[in-house]
Amino acid sequence: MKYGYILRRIAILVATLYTVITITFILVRLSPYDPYAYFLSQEASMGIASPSQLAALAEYYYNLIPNQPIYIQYFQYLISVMEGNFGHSLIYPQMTVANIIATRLPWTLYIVITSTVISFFIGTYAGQRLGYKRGGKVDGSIVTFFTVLHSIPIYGMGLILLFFISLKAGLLPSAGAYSANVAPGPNLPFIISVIRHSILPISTFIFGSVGGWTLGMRANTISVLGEDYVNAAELRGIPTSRIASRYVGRNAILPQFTSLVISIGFAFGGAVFVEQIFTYPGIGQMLVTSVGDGDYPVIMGITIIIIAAVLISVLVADLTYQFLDPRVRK
Amino acid sequence: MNLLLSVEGVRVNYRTERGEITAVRNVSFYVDKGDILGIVGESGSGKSTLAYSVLNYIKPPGKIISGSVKLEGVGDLLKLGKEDVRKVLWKEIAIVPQATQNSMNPTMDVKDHFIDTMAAHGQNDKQKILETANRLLEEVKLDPQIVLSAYPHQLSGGMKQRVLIALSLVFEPKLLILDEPTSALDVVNQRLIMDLLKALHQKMGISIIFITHDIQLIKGFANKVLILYAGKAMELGDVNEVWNTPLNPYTIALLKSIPTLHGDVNSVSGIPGSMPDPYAEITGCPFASRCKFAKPVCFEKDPDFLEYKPGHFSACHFSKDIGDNYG
Repeated sequence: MKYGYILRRIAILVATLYTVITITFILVRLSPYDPYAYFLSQEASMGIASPSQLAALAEYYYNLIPNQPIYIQYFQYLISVMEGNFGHSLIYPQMTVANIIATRLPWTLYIVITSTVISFFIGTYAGQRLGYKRGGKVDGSIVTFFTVLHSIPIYGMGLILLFFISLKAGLLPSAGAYSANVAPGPNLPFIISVIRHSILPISTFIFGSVGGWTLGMRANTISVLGEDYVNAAELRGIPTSRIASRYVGRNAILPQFTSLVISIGFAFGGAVFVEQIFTYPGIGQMLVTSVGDGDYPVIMGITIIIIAAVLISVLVADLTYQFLDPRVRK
Repeated sequence: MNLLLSVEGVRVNYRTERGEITAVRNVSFYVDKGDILGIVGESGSGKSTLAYSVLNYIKPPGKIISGSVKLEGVGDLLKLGKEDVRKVLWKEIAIVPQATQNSMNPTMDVKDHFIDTMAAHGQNDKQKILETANRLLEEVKLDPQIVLSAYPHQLSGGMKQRVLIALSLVFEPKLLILDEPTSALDVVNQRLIMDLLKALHQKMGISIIFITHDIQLIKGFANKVLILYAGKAMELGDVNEVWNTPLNPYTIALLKSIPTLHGDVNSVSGIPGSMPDPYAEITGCPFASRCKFAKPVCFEKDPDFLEYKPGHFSACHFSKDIGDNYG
């Protein structure tokens, strides 16, 4: 692989990220809600009267001076983001945005990665089996089932699971990442509690995506089964199981792999819905809360993280694809 | 004694939406040890279907209705179960398929193709496999150092063809079937492949079935020829005998259609008409409607495939007269 190619790809990533930060900054500032005015009036009502004191406070917390023109604020924001400083939360001024993300991100990573990996394996396996049984009765009904499953939006799926499994049947908790009565740490009750709380969000993600994986793999398998090299392998007397794995599966999974890496990035966006429905303390739920509060340092920070996740996953998919497919090796 | 393969009365049907069609009609032929049999026919005459039925490898909607394919030392291939056929494939009979440009797994290098193929038949010694691969690739005039680690997309069409020929020889099968091995190649590569096959045939004594629509390729290469028309065997015999004293009007017409380098272009004539509609039921001889010797009996009765001279078979009601008068 040429380093020039990698550098070019990283340059594109940085340029995209910069554009996204700019657009997000403008969009957030266009919102009619003025959290600074709210903050200033709060502080004023608490007895800090002097405007210069207020301005100093604002600068300390937010890295910017509210009275300055917006383009100055924009450049100041860009510089501080490059320094890794996303500012403080407006609602919880004692916390930095980086702190908030650091406590929230692991929960999101946990459910997003777990669900994507499980869904990918189930879908790929089922898809290949269905591809082999194409045209049969089993194939028809299962394809219909997965198509329906695939058509249900992720928030609809989340609400269905929440209503039936949690509210009606009471089988699993409906909110939070773990119970209040367990001590966080590497102990069994805590781990069990975490798993119990994550089953519904993870299932929601799985149900929302497994149909796509299955249908995709089924289509790829059918297409590869029609390839001459599969017939040629059969004619060489290569056993069926070996053909299914090394000839059919190996080639049918190539497009799936690219989708897999990219989908991990996009699942961060889906996390906004799912975490909100299950009040799960990840960055998605934090984003919704922050939008409600007009806490835009946090909105900006989380948006940048989500976009960066998508961009990095696309980059990883591009750079790793060549290890799987010799045809694109340079 | 010398008989290697004897195919009798093989019939293959394809079930389609418009009805059943017959791709191969009760074809019989045989291959002796050391033979190169050329199978000639127009596109759609059932050449490939016949070749794959010899391997008992007809996929639905196709079906082998009847017949037997007896291979020396194995028995009737059409009576074997799937797993037994798998064991015979490549060890006893190998085929280089028509679509060689796509016959290799794009995510496997050449070396892995050799390893996979030999492992499938119980040879797991990597060292031995590589020795075999090296030797055979050199045999087909390829550089093993470069080719073994190459992926299919890095090889040219002619190279892929030669890799597949090398791959077909790993177990030195008794019979090698080549399905239009030169059709996708330019004349230079065609020549290269033909010379290569000839050398391999002499060196290894392997028997070959060579399928082509190019009747001229047969003349200098094969010692026997089988002529197919609309799925029916029209004539089978020694190449020179068939060329000089054909017994079948279709063969005569076919030979007349070959332009020669020096001859008068006007003496070349095509065969008027076209092959019969596969969906139409044929009662008589399938060639009757295009045959200038046709008599009423030809439209009523399908001629049997009979031996008129030793080793020279033909399916025509008038083969005897033609044999007496041709020339």
